[in-house]
Amino acid sequence: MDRDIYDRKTALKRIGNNEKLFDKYLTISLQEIPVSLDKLKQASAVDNLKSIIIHAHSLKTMAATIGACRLRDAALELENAGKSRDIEYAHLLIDRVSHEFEKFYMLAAET
Amino acid sequence: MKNDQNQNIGILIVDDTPAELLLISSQIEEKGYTILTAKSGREAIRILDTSHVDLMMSDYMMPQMNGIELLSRVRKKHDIPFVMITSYGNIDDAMLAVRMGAEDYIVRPCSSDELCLRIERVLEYTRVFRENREYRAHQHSLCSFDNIITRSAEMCKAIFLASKVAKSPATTVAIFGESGTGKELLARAIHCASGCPESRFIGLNCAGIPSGLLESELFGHVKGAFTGADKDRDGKFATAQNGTLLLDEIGDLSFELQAKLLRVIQEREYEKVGSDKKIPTNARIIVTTHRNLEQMVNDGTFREDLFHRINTFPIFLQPLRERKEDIPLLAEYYVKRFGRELGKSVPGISEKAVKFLSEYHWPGNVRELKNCIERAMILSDGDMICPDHLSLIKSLRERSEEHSFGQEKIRICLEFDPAEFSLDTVIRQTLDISLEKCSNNKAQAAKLLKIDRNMFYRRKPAKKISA
Repeated sequence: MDRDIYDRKTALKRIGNNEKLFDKYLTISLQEIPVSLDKLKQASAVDNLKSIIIHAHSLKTMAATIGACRLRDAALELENAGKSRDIEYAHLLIDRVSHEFEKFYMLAAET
Repeated sequence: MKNDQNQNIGILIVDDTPAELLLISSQIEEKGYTILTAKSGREAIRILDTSHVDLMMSDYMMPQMNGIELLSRVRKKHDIPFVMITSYGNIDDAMLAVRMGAEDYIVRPCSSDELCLRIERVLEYTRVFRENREYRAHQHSLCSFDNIITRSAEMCKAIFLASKVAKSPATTVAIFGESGTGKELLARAIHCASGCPESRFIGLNCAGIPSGLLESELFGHVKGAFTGADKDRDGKFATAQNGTLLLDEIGDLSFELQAKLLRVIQEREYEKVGSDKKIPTNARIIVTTHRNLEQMVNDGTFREDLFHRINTFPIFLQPLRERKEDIPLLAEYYVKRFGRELGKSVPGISEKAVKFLSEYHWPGNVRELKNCIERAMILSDGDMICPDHLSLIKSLRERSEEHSFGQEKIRICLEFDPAEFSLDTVIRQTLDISLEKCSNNKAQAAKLLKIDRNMFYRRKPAKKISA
């Protein structure tokens, strides 16, 4: 498994190796991240920077908790692009975030 | 592991992300806390109005109302600790939250151990902080003018003056009075009435510190200022910044330091020992002394310019012997106070004991009375304090009598048959009366008459004595 994409071991250790809790959180996150991605795309379509920052932030938080390291980093970059009002770069990053989520989802589904 | 004691502790978690609410709640629940959750700032405020919350944790980034806005709203209405939750890469937000008044912050993702440890620390900090605040408020209330026990007109006047000057922190106040009259108590009352309960009251006994060290104590020193000064140190002026500095026994200050103090009072700035850098001070200065500074000025032992500078607002405290009406009040007060402190239920103090206390001269003033009652309370078995309970009674009587010779007029009336009247019989009768006054103590009687005690061995008793 590529630990840059999915570091389940570290994420699980953080919550005291409570697998039940982790899986519950992962399930909810896998439902919520696509929702956040949709909202990001909608915000990007209308250049709504505030909304981009909020949804990138929330996506980044979930990604960090579930051990989706590359997704987390991409979301952080998106959040920062929003904060620095770089809308062009934000458009590009939304695609990267979607791509990283797909890779993570595939790995998570395998385990 | 669940801790049953924690179930009474309510923690409100605010986050717009359901997954985060679930995770944090689950991590904290393990410690047995009662968890409340809110998905927005508005919902959190509603919960705060209706539920018991001991600690609040909120996400920083939320739509509509962010964590900082929520913190600011909560602070206006509620006195509960606030922990800001920020995310990976947002440490600046955490710093901002702490600057805005949050007790702590958590950066996600964090381990369960770290989360619980931070919560425990914030709860403990809050407990200690509140305890300290309550203690300060209690101390503040004890130091108020209302707590100075007196019905003496002179003392009421002194308190009135002190309450007036309390609102003028730039004015130096001089409190004069014998030892034990309550100079420090009044100084503390002035400090407390100045309306800055958080500011500090710093006392320094100028008589208790060698003059060589006093300058450093007052103004502080820099590293290398003198042998042993291995690091910079603040003095009392720095510690009393925004508060009050009490210089007790100002009359004992050396002439050299008097000049330095005068400059500080005039210029409102000082220099640390070994430094030329001027440091401003806004400390209120209160000086006290039992000495007669005016006399010291005449004797050349106290600077006249400093005397005039500190004598802007003099307050004089009466000795206890000149306000005997306060003795029963104070005695009752101390009986109650030591009753509480010693855990003894004493109904009060007998009339006879009060009479005895009222007749005493109290050279040590209220402090001596306090010590006297404390000792009586320790010796008491829980019944009313009466002269017999006061084991000090004998020494008090002796001291009282001893003192009365020095203070009161001695009247004697001698009667003679014309045939017996002579200088010799007058002397003999005077000796006998003095001896009687001194309970047959020849040494004391000789001292009273300023004669050699052998006079008593040489005398022939007089036939008739009346005094």
